[in-house]
Amino acid sequence: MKWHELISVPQKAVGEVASVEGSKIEVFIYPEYFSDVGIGSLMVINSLGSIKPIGLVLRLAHTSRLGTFTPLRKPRSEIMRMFPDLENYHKFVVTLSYTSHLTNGDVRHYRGPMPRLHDLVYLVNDEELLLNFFKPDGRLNLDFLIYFISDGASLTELRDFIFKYSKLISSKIGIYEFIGEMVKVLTKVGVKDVIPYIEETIKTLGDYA
Amino acid sequence: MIGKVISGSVNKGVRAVLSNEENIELYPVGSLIAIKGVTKTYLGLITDAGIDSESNLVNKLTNLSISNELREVIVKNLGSLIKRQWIEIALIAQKEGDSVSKASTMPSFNSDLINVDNEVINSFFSRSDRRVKWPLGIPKAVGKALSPIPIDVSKLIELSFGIYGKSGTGKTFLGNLIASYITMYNIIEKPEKRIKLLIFDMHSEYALELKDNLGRPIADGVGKTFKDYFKAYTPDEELARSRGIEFLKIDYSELTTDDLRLIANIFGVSQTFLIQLDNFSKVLREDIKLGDLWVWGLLIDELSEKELMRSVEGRRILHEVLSRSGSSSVRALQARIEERIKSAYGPSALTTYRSQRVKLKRLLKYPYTYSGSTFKNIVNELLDPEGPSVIISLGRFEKEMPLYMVIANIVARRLRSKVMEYVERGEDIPVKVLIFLEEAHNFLGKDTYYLSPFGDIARELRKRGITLCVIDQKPSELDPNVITMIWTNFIFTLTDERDIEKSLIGAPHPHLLKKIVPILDRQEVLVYGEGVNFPVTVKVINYMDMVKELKGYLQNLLEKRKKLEELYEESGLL
Repeated sequence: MKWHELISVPQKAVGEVASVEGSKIEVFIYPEYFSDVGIGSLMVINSLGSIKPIGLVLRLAHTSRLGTFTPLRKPRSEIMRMFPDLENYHKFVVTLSYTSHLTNGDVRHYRGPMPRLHDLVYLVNDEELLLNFFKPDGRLNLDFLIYFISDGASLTELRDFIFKYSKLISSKIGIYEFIGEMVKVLTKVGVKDVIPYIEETIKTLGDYA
Repeated sequence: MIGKVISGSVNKGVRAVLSNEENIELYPVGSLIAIKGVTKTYLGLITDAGIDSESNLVNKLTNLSISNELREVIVKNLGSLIKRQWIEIALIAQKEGDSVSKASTMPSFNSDLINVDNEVINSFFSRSDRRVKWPLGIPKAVGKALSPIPIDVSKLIELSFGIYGKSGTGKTFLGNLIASYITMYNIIEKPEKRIKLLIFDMHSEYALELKDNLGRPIADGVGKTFKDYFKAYTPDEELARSRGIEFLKIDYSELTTDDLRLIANIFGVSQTFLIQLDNFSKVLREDIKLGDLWVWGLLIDELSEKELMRSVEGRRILHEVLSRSGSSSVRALQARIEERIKSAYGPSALTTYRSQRVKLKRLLKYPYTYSGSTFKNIVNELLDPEGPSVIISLGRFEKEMPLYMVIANIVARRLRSKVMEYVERGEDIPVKVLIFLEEAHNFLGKDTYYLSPFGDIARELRKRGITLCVIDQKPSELDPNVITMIWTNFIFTLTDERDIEKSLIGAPHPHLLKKIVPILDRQEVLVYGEGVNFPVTVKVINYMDMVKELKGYLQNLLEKRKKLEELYEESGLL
């Protein structure tokens, strides 16, 4: 799959830009896709122009749009039966760390212009695109983690990110190469004690490691 | 980028960090390295190398249960967070445009380290021309420098030089190499005054063959390689016969009390005896009337009489001694001597005389003569511009230090005396003489410097054209005055701190260079002084290969000269 194939079908969008503040982009996720999105998910925004922002999910939020919340004491299936449109009153928001952008179809791990509100957002699950993101020039480049970590991703978020792509890492990237590159990035962002990160990575990659 | 200058000073040395991608194992201590400054290029010697690490991180990493391969990946990518590779550099030279000089400025902060290639070597050290400048060895350098460092023979022989190093490090190879170069320099350059070599060759490796550690011959010594330009002498009669070398007998009438003092320690003679030695000598010379045979008065007794009687030379000596002293027998002679010593210097002097003089009888084991030694010829040959250089090899006496000292002292004294004759006539000697002196501390040590004729030579005769090549394993035992007279130093590995310190007196940055000396490999030599442009460590050129080359070169040269002469003769120019 090519990037433009993903972002050229509005029906495949999983949400839209709700707000932009600094390097963080809040994306309203359409309710039906909320369960598809997790910490570390990769998203691309179809902004106007040739540059398309890319980011990693840093935080998930799920609140009531009306600002009030009433406990129902019922299982999810019963609630859905009683209030089939309930999710229309809920807000599903993720915070994206703006780490990279697409320019003329090429991935660059730098930030480009900010997206605008309501720009459509697409979830990247395609292995070919993911691999292109990890290896934009054919070589592993985890520089996007510099922004991810600077925006507040702690060991915990990083752990989720690694878990999410563990299969890809082990099968298409190489665990040692990934750890080596990650260590390089951690030193770039000034992490003094990289050992817990290494330990968690090895633990997270589990059987693959 | 292989590294950057980060701190230091001209005098204390420069500290540079190596890029994390560099393999620090390729930066051996003693190697040349270049620094590209803003306006100058610098040349330095690596004097130390190391790694600073973040110990906490290292400990944690060590305790991680991961494969070594992964650990290496992590370490590599941690870069300077876990380790910093550094080298310490002694600045030795700087170059700005075409101007090369001793380093007197500091390279700018962040200057790049660069590899040393042949161009760098040639620009700082110049090239061998095989006339005056001869290849000493391949420099130890970071990079691909294969251009040999030249030694300037004309500068080297102007002043005394030293070759130091532990046993088996390559001193004799280098000595032979330098002697070969000087010989070639004489032949090719034909300097106004020829340089004559006087080589005291303890182990016969200059006159005959150089040997490997098992004593097997591996290459011809300089005397054999250039046999038309050297004459060898030996006190080993068998060797003289078998190898066609001049047999050297010693005439003990040439010995002085100082000579005996020099060898007395080796014989274990007491200090009391040495204090009384001048008195004993006086008794023997004057009272007993032995004159120049006074040493024999110390050596002859009833036991040694039998030994002397076994040879014509011995019988002649015995006869002459008894005749001069007017004694009817050896017993009578000794009785007279003892009686005279007792009456003149007291019973304690007599006790000393009796107990100690027997220790000198080891001299009887050496080849002696009464009919005049060949030493006179040696000195005449040396000072004759057309005569050969001289090598005195000990042959089977190679472990007999007293014999070596006796021979060397007699030759040196005769040489000095002959040179002084020229001086007194207001003339210069017609040649330059370079004396190769192995185990030099025996002659130029703190206790021996003022007793040995070599001390006089070192002090007085440099300006008259006589210099020394001081070869020693223990430079710390040389008199400080000798060290200061040495202008080019070749230092093979030494481990004793005092030896290292002494060998580096006169070197730039001795506190830095001293780190290089103990870890020099075999055949590697740190050289500094007049003979080379700048201090440098080299792997001494393969002597065997060089000898072959020189032989071929010499043959060609002589053939060409002969043809030219024939041509001149035919054309009537000669």
